[in-house]
Formats: sequence, C-alpha cells, structure tokens
Amino acid sequence: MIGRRLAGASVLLVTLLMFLVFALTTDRFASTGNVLNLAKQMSIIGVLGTGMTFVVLGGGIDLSVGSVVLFAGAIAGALLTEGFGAAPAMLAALAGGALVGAANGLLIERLRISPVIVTLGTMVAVRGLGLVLLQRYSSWIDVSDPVFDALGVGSIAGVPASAAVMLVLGLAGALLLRFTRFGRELYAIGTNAAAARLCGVDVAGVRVATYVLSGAIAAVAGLLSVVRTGVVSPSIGVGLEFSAISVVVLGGARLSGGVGRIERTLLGTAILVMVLNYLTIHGVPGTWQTTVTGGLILAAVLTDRLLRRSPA
Amino acid sequence: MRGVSKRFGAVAALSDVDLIVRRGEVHSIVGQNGAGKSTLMHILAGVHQADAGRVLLGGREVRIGGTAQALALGIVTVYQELSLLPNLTVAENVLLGREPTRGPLLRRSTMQARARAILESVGVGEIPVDAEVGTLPLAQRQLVEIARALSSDPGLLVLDEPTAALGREDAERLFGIVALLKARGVSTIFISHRFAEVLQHCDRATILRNGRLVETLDLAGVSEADLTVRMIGESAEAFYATAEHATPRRDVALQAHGLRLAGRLRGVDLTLHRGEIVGLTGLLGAGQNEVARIVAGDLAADAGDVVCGGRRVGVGPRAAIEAGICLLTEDRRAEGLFLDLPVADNIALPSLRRLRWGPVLDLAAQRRAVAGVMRRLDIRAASAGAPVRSLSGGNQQKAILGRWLLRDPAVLVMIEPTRGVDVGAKAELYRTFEALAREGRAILMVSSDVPELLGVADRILVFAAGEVRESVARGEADEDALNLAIQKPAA
Amino acid sequence: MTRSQAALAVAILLLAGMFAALDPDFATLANLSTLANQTTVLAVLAVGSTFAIISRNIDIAPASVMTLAAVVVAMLLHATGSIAAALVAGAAVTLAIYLLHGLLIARLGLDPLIVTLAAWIWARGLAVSLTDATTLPIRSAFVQALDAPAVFGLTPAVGVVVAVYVAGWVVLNRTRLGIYTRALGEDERALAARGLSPAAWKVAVFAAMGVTTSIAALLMIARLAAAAPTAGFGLELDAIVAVIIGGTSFKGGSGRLGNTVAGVVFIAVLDNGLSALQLGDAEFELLKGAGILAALLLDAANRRRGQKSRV
Repeated sequence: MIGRRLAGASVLLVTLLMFLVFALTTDRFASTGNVLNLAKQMSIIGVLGTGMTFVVLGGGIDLSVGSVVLFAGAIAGALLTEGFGAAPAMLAALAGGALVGAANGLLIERLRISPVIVTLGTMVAVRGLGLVLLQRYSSWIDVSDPVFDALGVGSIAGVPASAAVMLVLGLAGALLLRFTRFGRELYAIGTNAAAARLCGVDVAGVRVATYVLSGAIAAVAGLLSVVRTGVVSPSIGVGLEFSAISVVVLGGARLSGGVGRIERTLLGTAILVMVLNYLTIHGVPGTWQTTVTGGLILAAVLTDRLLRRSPA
Repeated sequence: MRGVSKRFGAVAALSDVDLIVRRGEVHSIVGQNGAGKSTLMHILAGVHQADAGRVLLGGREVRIGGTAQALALGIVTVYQELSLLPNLTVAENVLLGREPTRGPLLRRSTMQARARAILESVGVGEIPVDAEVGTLPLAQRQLVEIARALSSDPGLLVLDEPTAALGREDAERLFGIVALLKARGVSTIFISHRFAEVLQHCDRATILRNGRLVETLDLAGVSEADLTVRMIGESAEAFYATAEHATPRRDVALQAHGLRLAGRLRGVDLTLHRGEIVGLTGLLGAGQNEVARIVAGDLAADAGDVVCGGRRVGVGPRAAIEAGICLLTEDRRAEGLFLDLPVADNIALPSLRRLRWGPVLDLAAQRRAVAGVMRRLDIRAASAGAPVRSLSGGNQQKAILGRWLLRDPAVLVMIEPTRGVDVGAKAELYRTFEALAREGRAILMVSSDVPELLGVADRILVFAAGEVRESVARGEADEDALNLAIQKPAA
Repeated sequence: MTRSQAALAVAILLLAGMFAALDPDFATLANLSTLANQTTVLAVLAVGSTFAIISRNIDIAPASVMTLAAVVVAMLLHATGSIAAALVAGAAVTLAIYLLHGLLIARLGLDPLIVTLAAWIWARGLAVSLTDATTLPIRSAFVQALDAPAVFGLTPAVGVVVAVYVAGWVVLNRTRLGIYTRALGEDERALAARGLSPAAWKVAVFAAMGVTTSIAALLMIARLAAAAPTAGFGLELDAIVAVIIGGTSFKGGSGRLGNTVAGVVFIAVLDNGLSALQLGDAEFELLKGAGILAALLLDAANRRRGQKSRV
C-alpha cells in the first residue's frame, strides 16, 4: 500500500528533483528563456499524452496519433490555402481526428481486434491519407493566418500560447476523469472490464469514446505543430505516438489500464523534455535522443515495478 | 503438518493447524468454504509457503519451497479448478513436464502410447489421446486430470472436490481407484462437502473452522449430523434457521420461458415469485449456472425469453439491471470487484446515473448513499476510501450485495454467494437474504451446498443435462434425498 | 482447410489476380522470384512473431534490434576484417538483447509491450547514433553469395527461409518448447502446477525469437549488402500482421506456422503489387494500410461466425 502511494507521489518528486539537479548543474537550464523553451517543447507531446492517457486507462493503446497529427495538419493547411478562415480549418481538423478515433474504436470494439494491431494499421493508412492530401499542394503548405500566427508567438500571462493550450486541455481532461460518470466508468473498465460490464457499464461505448477523444486531441496537437513551425510538411508527427506512450508510462500509468492520471502524464512530459533539453545543452547530438527516450521508458517501468513489488 | 499458520494480508487463513495423515489411509478435511482447507492444501502442494509451522513426511521434516519440490516428494494434487490446458491434446496435458524425448525432439508415438496406458489404468482408455482437451465434456476432463495425477506415482494424493462434476458412476470409479491406492500404501487426502461420500470412503477426518483446527476424529460410527455440528458449531437447523421464513407472495416477479442454449440448456422454464428464494443446483455443467446468467442478462440464450415486471427483458447486463435484475457471481475477484478501487467506488458504480448534478457527479450524495449501505450491511472496512482488496471475503461479498441494494432490485440472482466466506459472515448473509425476501424481493440462488439450500430456499430446482429434473419445496426432502436427486445419472 | 484459411487463400488469389490485370509484368517468373527474394527478411521475422503471439507476448522490437545488429556487424567487419567474427558479434548482440527482454518480462513481470516498445525506440536510436544516420557498406563474399540469384532466380537466402520454417515447425510441433510455448499462451499456472518454471520457459521462447531475429538480420545484410539504420522500418508491424491475418489468434495458446506462411504471402503480394504500380509513397502507404485493415476485417468476421457471443 505504501509502495503504491510512493509510486504516485514519486512522479512529482522525481520531476522536482530533476529540475533542481539540472538547474544547479547547468547554467542556462533555469533561465527564463530556457524554461519558456521547455514549456513550448512540452506542449505537443503533453497534449498527445493527455489523449493517450484516456485510451491507456481503458486498457487500450493508440499508435495512430502521430499520423493524425499529420492528417489534421494537412486538413487545416488545405482549408486555409483554399481560403477558409482559421475557425473552419480548425474545426475540420478536429473532426478529422475524431473520425479516425471513431474508426479505431469501432474496429477494436466491434470486431474485437487487438488495439495494437488496429492502430498500427490506421497509423499506416492515415499517414498515407495525410500525405495524399498534402501532395495536392506540392507536399508543403506555408500557413499564414492571423490566428495561427498569434498562437505561434503569443503568450497568456507569460505562458506561451501552446503551453497554455496544453494546460487547459490537461485540466479539462483531469476534471473529466475525476468528476464525471465517464471518468469513474473508465477507471472501472481499466481495472476489471468484466465486472464493469456486469455493473451495466457500456464498456465498448466508453472505450470507443476514449479513442475518439484521443483522435480529436491528437488533431489539436497537429494544429499546435502547424502553429509552431508555420508549415505543414510530410514529416510532422513521425514517431510522436511513441513519445506520447513514453510520457504516459513515465507518469506512472499502467498499460493494462485502470491506473494513471493526466496530471502525472504531464509531469512525465516534463521529465522527458527536461532530460532531452539537458542533453542538448550539454552538446549531446540529437541522434542520441531516441536512445535516451527508450532507455528512460525502461527505467520508468522498472522503478515502478520495483517500488510496487505487488503481484500483477 | 504441525502448527501451520498463514496470513494473507489482514486475514489469518490458517492459525496453528495440525494435520496428521497415516500411511495408506484416506483422510478427509472437512470445513466450510473459507475454513482454510484450500490454503492448507496449497501449502502442501508448494503453491504457498506457510508463515509458521512444519511439514513432516514419513517422520522427516521437509521444506516445500515450490511446486516442483512437492511433486518430487511424491505429493500430487488434483485441484478443483482443473489445470488442464484446453488447446493442448490429452496426451500433451497428461504428460506435461514429463514428455518422452530423444535429444531435443519428442517421441510422439511413445508419448501417445504412454498417455493411453495412463488413461487405461484409470479405466478411461476410451478417451482419444490426441483430442484437444477443450472439446471434452467436463466429467471426462476431470477423469483425465485424475489419471494424470495418478501417473506420477504419488506417495500422497490430494483430491480437492473431485466429484463436483462426476455423476454416480464416474464417482464410483474414482473411489475404486482410491481403494486400489490404499491397498498399495498410498495415502489420500479427500476434500468434499458431500458428507455421505466422506463417511463412506474415508477413515479419518480433520475438521477446520475459521482457519483453526477443531478436531481430528475417526469416522467409524459418525453420522452426517455429527459432522455438521462439528463443522459449524451448531446443528444445521439451528444454523440455517432464521427468524421465520417469509411466506412467498403470489405475484410473479420474474418468468423465463423456453430457455435454450446449444449444448447446455434444452428448454428451461422458471417462475419466481416476490419474496421467494429459489435455489438452483445440480452437478457441474448441468445448466444451472447458465440459466442464472441468462436471467441476469450476462449470457444470451439461443431461444426463449425472460419477463420481469410484466415486460420482456432485453439482452445484456444493462437491460437486466434496468429491469431490476442484478447478478452476484461466484468469482468475486474476476467478475465482481474492482480490487484496487475504493470500497465507495465499488458500491456506487451502477448507481452513478442517479448520483449526479448534471454532467458532474454529486459526491456528497454518493458518500451518503455508500455510508448508508455500509451501515445497513455492517460492512467492516478501514474507510469507504480503502481499496476493496483490503476487506475480508465476507465483507467483500457484502460490498457487492450493497452495490445492488442501492439499485433497489426486484430480483437478485446469486451464484455460490457464500463461497470463500467464513462461518460468521455466512450466517449474516443468510439473515440478509431472508430480510431481502421479506421486503418483497425475489432471490434466485445457484448453490452446490446442499445444507445451505435446504436451510434457506423456499423451493429447489435440480438440474440435469440442461433441464430441470426435479422441483423440491421446503421441507419436502432431506439432505440424502437431495444429494440423490443431484447425482442420479441422466435418463 | 478452415473457413478463414479458405477466405485468406481467396483473398490472396483475388489480390494477385488484380495486380496481374493491372500490370502485365506481375505474373512473370522474374517478378515472382524477385518477390520471394524481397520477402525473406519479413518471412523470418514472422516466424519469431508467431512464437511471440502464441505465447501471448507481443514483440515490436525485432526490426530495430535487427538494424542494430547489422550496424554491429558492419562496424566489426570494418574493425577486424573477418565476416565470421562480425556475424557472430551481431548474433551475440541480438541474443543478449532478447535474453534481457526475456528476463525483464518473465522474472520481473514487466509488460512485454512496454519493454519491446522501449527497445523499438532505443535499439534503432542506438543504430542511428552509432552510424550518424549513414549507411555502412558491408563487403563480403559470403554475404554477396547469399543474395546471388541461383535456382529459378531465387537466391540462397530463400533456402535459408525454408530451413527456418522447417526448423520452426519442428520446434513448435515436435519439441517440449513447442508445447510449452502454447501452454504459456494459455495459462502459465498450469506449468507451475506441474513443477515447471514458467519464467524459465518464457526466457527460452525469447531466446528462440532472438535466434530468428539474428537470422533475419543476416538476410537483411545480404539483401542490402550494407547496414542501413533507417531500413526495415515497419517490418515488425508487417510480421505481426502476417501472423494475425494468417489466422493465428492474438489471444495465444494455439497457432500454426502454415498460417503464418499464408499471411506472409498475402503481405508480400500486396507490397510487390503496390510497388509495381509505381505509386507515390503516400498512395502506397494508404493502400497498404487499407489492404491490411481489410484483411483484418475479413479475418475478424470469420472468427465471429464460429463463436458463441456474449452480449
């Protein structure tokens, strides 16, 4: 029992400790400029992690979110280029993401195919869709729209706009999980789906909803990606699904479901971004970043397992 | 085994228990569900290690650190939940761990021959050795399992409820084997709640209650009533009798017509009245579990329907719950409890629709409702926020009952409701069931515990081969008669 | 032949027929032998995936580990000049990683998805870091010989694939490891009850997967005559999909290599046919993804028809 409490609180502790150690050992780390930088870097992965947390809580996984980032970005870019305003472009992007999520959810729940396989399949198919759409615009869209530009450079009370989006979304998600029937049912499903079903919970329906949420939230990440770089290119979103899973795991969630919180996923995002940032400041080449990320995940699960030490 | 103790968390499963089995004797362990029989046997089999106490074999102390060691010592256990793998063949299952090999490769023909020989030695040579175990009926699977156990040449054989799925004929075959083993000097530990069998085939018995040793006695001249008294501490009538049984009312609470399920049910009709407690029983696999699950919406029947409150009940647990039917299953851990979630969440889950404020949950109302239930059923827990895993078996069962009470159900379907519950909590549960019946609710209870059924049910339906074979009203039959009815071979 | 096997056979024929119609070169011996030569790596990976899925362990690492092994081979060849030493080193690295996974998963009880996901990330990352994202050539007569067309235009690599499948079949159906692989996929407690150690046998299954991955690495080196850190991206997905489409259940406990062969053929035909159509990257991925999803749908639909349904 104590082990579990410790596991939960440990994410916060590790994050704070890490920040302290990095700040004390590196000159530039705690500077305002760098912290803002960290916040910006966190935003896309943090948003993806929020969506992924929903899916993982229900015992599933969504490997298509990276492709949805591209797909949603392509939709928004296409609409903007065709002369539509920011609002329709964003809405269409969100709808696109939600549709992909719905497709995932239905294939998984209706046809009882493993989430890994279905979302691997949609990962490929949706990336293809996004690339096909992008090709109509010569595979490169420069986005110039007042709203998008404002989001790119603007900030609210000193917090960069993209980070603010991440925080708002995270807060909304956390509230959803704690204070609504949907949230309670989701935790129940992740803990014991058979028992949840016998309690009258619409297990399939809730799970499909998590995939729709994941897709829509991934679309938000896609929009943030476009906002950040100002372009839609064929390489956006590649590999992001694994960063998303990494931060969810770093936040202490269990891939089998029932354990995890959005607040902790965001802390996991902070950990990942801080480590990568630290390495960059110290001149470690970017190619090592993937290695480190993979190693971090292993370290996280190992620590979690050793701390808990309880039979699965 | 001397002075064996074992705790699981806060629960003391065994406290200072002695078990002495003589060479070549058939020894029974008697006790209610939750008395500690399984835990004791698990320690003997190496599945768990005792916190305290010693195990002596042939006078020499042994350390059983794991299942391999138990097997090496000649202790072979046949569990109630069969450990046969459905996708593997009979031969593969029987020889699992002892396959004949030449280098890295299996010697298939040798394996088949050996498996066949083993089956024949138990008298079931007719079962094909290359059939997938999953395709065999339950009784045959049990016999395969027993054959497997015997083939490892045990010095001590432990049989845990071996006749649960066996009809009279197969059960007799089993006892014949036990007698053979006895002649060879092999000891057998026989766990069964069928006292008639125990008295007929066992030499001595050890009685456990609530994890403690009550006594060890010679079974010559002992009657079933004697055993019952020693097991629960009072006579059966006194134990199961509660304040007067409510008289079931006339109005019908639920009706099921023509329930059919391929390979399981051959057309079952059922009527439940308000305030009535109806028991369903039969050999394992006779269909009573399926009927209960169909009524509660968990399983879909191929044909037939269920009518409750005048309306046809749709399929699925949600529809059943909306119609006022709820289900308590026999496997709390797998199908009832959310072990890591708080007691409050476990209780409130099906009622969340009512306990809210628009889209948001009404936490105060939830707290009140949960507290009310915990008070009414006297659920002991550190707090409503404690994980339900930390509760005792009896309190866990009460928590599940409490969950459904919040829904004010018209019909409660229960499958083996007192399994894994200690004696004191059982009595409480029976009183609660009676109270619920008095309130006008109907209870459908599947149970393999004959005294329980006789004591609690207004009417008992005995199932065989997918049909209702007999209906016994309260007072119409005694234990022997009911056991006979259950074990009679299918026509 | 079961219904789903028949359905898959029909699907493959339809697909092949469609491609043959769209592209006259498709059904030629030259193209078919090229197809076989191109599929060697996937085919061997699929054997490992079969074992993984039957024993209810998912493994999404093989392609990344394979790439890392290839990099190790290239680096050692450059350092020592001996292809034998280099290949041994590559195999050793692969086996070490798989044994590590086996221990983490079997002894510590970590989730196989997470452990292999981590490896998916770090193994490829390491390969990229060690080579600075460049391709390292591997010049060796032995390696070249493996990829030289011999009989009917098929390379010796295809022979290796056949050998791997035969060996795999023998292990799965004629050894204890085969029985225990299925037992692990169903209920490992049964093994424990018999005095066997489920953890030890799980590690054995991972060792077997390590062997298949090493051989796959060898075949990839042969194919490319180089170690390309960005090659083989997505092959692990193809391998898993091949096993599932072939009819092996994701729930584990049973499965046949014959099914895997069918699945591999399906993916190979799909890949080959689509590339022959000279589509852009985008359309290729889209259609391939669609093809895979369609096959999964078919398989799922067939499975449902044979099952008692819980509501």
